[in-house]
Amino acid sequence: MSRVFKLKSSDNETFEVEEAAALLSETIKSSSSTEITVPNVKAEILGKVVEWCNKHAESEDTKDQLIKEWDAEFVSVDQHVLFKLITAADYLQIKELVDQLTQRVGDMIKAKTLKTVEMTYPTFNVEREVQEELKSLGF
Amino acid sequence: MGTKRSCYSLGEDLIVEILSRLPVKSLMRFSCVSKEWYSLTRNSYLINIHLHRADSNLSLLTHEYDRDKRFNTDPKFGISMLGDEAADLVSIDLPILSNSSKFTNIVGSSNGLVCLVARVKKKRRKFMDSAEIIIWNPVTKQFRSLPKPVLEENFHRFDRPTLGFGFSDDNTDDYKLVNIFHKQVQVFTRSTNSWREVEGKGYPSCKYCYGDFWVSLKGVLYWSARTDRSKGRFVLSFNLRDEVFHVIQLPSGNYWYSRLLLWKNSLAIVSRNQVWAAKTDDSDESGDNNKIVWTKQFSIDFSISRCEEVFGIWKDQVLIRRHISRYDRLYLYDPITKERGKLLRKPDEKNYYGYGQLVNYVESLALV
Repeated sequence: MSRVFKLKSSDNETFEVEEAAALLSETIKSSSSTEITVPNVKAEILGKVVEWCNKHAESEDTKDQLIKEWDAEFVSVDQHVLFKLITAADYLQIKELVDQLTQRVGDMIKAKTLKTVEMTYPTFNVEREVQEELKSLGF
Repeated sequence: MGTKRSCYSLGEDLIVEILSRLPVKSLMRFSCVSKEWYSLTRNSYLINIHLHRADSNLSLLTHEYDRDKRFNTDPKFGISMLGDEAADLVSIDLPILSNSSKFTNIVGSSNGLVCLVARVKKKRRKFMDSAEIIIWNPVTKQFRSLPKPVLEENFHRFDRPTLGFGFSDDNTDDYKLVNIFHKQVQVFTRSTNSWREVEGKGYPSCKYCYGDFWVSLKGVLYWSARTDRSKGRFVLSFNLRDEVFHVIQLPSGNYWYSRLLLWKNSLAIVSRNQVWAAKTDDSDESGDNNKIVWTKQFSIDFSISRCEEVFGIWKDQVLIRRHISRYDRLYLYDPITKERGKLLRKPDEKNYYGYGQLVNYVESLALV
């Protein structure tokens, strides 16, 4: 009989997840308990991660065109939602989800200019004039 | 659109995951944004992961132009990159050297770095005196000139050393060069930035041996070599990890061309219109686990056999060089379907006359 895991978000909402979906997470796999609290991840985000796990647990062949389309839809979200999803997937160590999400960010960056990169990475101090100047040097 | 700032800062590991999926050109743009970005793009963890995700189907193709036979000047050297599509031949700018040296050939290409030799043409000078060894990353555009090995004096001034370049393992931090001149073998490592003499274990017992065409595969360098005794050709290999040589004999009875190739991840060689590949013979009971067996892979039906030859391998297809009166052209040949592709666009220079080398290449952030 398959176990049921309970994932608790930082805002105290609990999600029940079947074993097959839950074990896509290395963190859950190596946990001794079936009740896991995911710190710093709110219900809205955790719910989406659970949705991804459920979808991937039920589909046998991940190379299926339908699931690829579903995955593409899944990652087409706002930048800040994307980052929150990455953090959650990283904490739960769901490699394939981290890969898909980081690939999506990579694709978004490829299409954008330096200016927008500044807006998405606020942890770095950026001088706009210097940027403009360096850009004109062909780099 | 206001400055909507994400209040989430991802850890460095995740940022590296994202950056490793971007092409080198994008990463080089970011390296100018701030000190933190700059040091990130030089981070060996990122460089390694990025290299492993990179497309390894690229090749560099060299060509020569402006050779003035009357005045016997050295030809000029140009380089292009053969990308994913054969029609994608993109010209690349070579580094600009401060003296009037001209590039002559590529000594090695591995993990995104290319080792070039440049020479200042001076009469009556021994080879190493007028040569410069350059390590270059074509996509980050960094390059530097390496200290030269000191060669023993008592040899004929036309004797040339054999040079090789590569990484001994998958670590992109430390590359090696090997210089073979008569019986003197020296190795250069990036970490020490200097040359040291090595034993040269396994080096053939000939007075002078020179390797022209080379390929590198899994940390081993291979040269198509001949000795001073002119007793035919053999393949000389040098393992960058344990710094040991091996001599690989070629099957007798065929006339082997000097060009070496890589065919489906094996060392390969050409005999007229046939391509043969090498495999280690596991069934050999003599205990010599370095015994190599050569097997014919395919034959090519050249239409004008005197003017066509095998030039290289690109994405499991053969690049065939056709000599026309004033210059060379290349086209692709599929050994399975036997289809011939269109002629590749020839280099732009007016006095272009011929192709030089085709070497495997991958774009990376590796530091020179």
